Amino acid sequence: MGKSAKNFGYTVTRDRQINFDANNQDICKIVTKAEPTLNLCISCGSCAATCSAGQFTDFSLRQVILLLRRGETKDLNKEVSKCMLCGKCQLVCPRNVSTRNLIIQISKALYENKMSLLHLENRKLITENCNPEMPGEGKFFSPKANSKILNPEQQQ
Amino acid sequence: MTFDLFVLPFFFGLLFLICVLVVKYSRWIALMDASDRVKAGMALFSYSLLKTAKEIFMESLLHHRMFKRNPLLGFMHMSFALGWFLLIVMGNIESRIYSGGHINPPYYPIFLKFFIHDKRVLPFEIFTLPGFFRFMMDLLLLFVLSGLVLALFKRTRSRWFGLKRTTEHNGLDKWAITSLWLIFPMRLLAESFTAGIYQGGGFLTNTLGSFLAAFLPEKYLAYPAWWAYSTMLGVFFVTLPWSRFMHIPTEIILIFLRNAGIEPGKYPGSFSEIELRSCPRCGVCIDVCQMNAAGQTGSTAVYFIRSLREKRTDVQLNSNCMMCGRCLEACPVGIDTLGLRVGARGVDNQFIESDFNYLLKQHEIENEKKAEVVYFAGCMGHLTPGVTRAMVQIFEKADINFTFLDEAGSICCGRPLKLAGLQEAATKLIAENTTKIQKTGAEILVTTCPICYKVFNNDYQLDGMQVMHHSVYIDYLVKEGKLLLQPTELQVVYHDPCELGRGSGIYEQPRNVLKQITEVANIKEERLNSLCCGGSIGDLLMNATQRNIIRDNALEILCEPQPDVLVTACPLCKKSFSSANSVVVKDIAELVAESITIPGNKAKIIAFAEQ
Repeated sequence: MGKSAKNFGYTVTRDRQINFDANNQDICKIVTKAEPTLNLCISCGSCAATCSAGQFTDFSLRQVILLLRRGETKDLNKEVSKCMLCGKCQLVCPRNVSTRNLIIQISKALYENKMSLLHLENRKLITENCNPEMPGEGKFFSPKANSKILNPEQQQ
Repeated sequence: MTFDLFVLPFFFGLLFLICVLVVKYSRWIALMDASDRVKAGMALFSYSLLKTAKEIFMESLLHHRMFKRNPLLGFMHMSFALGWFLLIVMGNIESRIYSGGHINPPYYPIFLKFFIHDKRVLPFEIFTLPGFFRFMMDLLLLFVLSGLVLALFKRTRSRWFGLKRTTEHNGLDKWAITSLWLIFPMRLLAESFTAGIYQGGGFLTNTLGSFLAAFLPEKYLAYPAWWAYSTMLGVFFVTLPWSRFMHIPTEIILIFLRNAGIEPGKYPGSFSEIELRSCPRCGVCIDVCQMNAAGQTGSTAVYFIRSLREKRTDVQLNSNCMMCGRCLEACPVGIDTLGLRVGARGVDNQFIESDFNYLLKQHEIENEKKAEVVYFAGCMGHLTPGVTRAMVQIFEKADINFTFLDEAGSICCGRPLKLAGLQEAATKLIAENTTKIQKTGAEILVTTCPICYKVFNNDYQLDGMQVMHHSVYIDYLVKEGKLLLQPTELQVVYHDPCELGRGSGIYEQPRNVLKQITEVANIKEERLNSLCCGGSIGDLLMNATQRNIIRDNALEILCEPQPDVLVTACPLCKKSFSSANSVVVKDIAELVAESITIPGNKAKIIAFAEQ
């Protein structure tokens, strides 16, 4: 059903405290590099107002961009996955932001971030479980530790 | 004498080529689905084999589609393909007769003039023409050489061949083409030198041989020339499987598989591997691509296919395409450039997670009105309310029992997700929409957006429900006499939307309607060659400036006859074109709604028209 005036896409955030130190600004940098038109966004909310998905759920590209710029990327993937890529937002955008590619680039950056974190985790596990007594400067590790190493499929 | 050392480069080159081809072919067969393999096996013994043979003759040898594009370009390709093929066939027959019907080693016919240089009249020729073979072989060589001369001209004068731009080839292709080009001059030299010594050639080699004998020591040059000829053949055969000339043995397979009714299927798969190798990189797709004007030259179909074949995954190349289908239309081999692109995007974008569970909630609130006709405006339809309003008016005036399915908003039809390669996510939307549409119990589904129309037609299982684009539906209403239209004095140009024209093959119905109410002017690029408006949702990377260049270029051609109104049948095209503010752009539905007359109700119509 259509939106009521109350829920037009502008009242997207509740009052709360944000700890910027704990946030991840890197994703925004990666996305901006991949889709520079993100810099043009003035957060007018036209995209959210026209959004096909926004009619059925509280998905809003304006909010996604807001969270991205703030570095609140924790639940961003869940939001972005609601997009149907229909392209209405791109057509109404007064600043000509390439919103469809933006969505894809956000998904990609989040995915790659997840993968690199996983990689770091694995590295940590390997170094923690290395046996310094063994020859080969710590390159060897016990099979036990090996079994702990996660792979992307297990993680999912 | 039936052997000499110089045949070895040719012989080993050919042996190597055959081995590589056998390995590649068996890998493709192994990759095929079992059902496809059965289909291909059946096709070997069915009528379709005749069709295949005819197509191979028409396309691989005569290059019929190339001729249609440009006669000179067609002749160039034909002289190489048909000329070389006939040289091989004729050479084999000649050598067979000379050797009294024995089976010869494969190099024997190729280098026949080296081994046999007498002027004997063969038994076969006694009844036909003396010197028939020598004449024919020289004629065919001249035929191939004429193609070579044209090919050299094409390097600098490509416009004569209908090509503004040509493909930029990479290293291996340059090696391959150099060796290919040198094969025939070398053959001419070798045969002429030998003919100059023994006078055993035809009109061409004998004349050239005796002419050159005047100032060249042919005795010493003939043997090196035969070596050079053999070496060039060897180099060509060795480079062939990794160069663009792989299309020679692969296109035949592609034609066979297509005629056997095998679907392209999943990418990457056996069929797509064959398609990728069938691309001769002729460059016909380059000029037709509108993205060149916007400086997006790198992702043209030919380069995209090359990168895919060389397994250089390049997101930029895969995603930067408007999917308008002009290259598909132009391709003389008929490679499904769009399908490959969608497949490659699917691999690129597999990390994207889609979650449409929120759609389940909407079931409770949707309208469930039963009607005969269900109207679906689609996302783009909702961005052009003038068009949807006009459609509603048309339904009402024609007194149709209809329901406006997505009056209060819709979910996407799934085509944009499909174009981004996200087939699985699209399937969810397709299932969702199917339930919604079928609940109305309608017989006809009318869509305003050609993007929706294409996916409804191709991917939805709507149980016999007829899917019609609104232009087709209006044509149907007019023919049924349910709509009476008042002619206007407008002169219009009709723009074929990509998804409706090339995508779905609908050209005539909108024109039929328009001819009743307006005067339709013809333009250069229409129907199969129609232009993209630049607004395409197929492209994921181009920015607004680049899109505007494409739009303006298209508008320039569309507005050449100075129309009063530019008419289209796609809300997205309408939006793109009207943003240029250079011409009045209207949807066919709007134009029709403005000129509806209902008998006995004329006053109302005039009032409506004045509105």
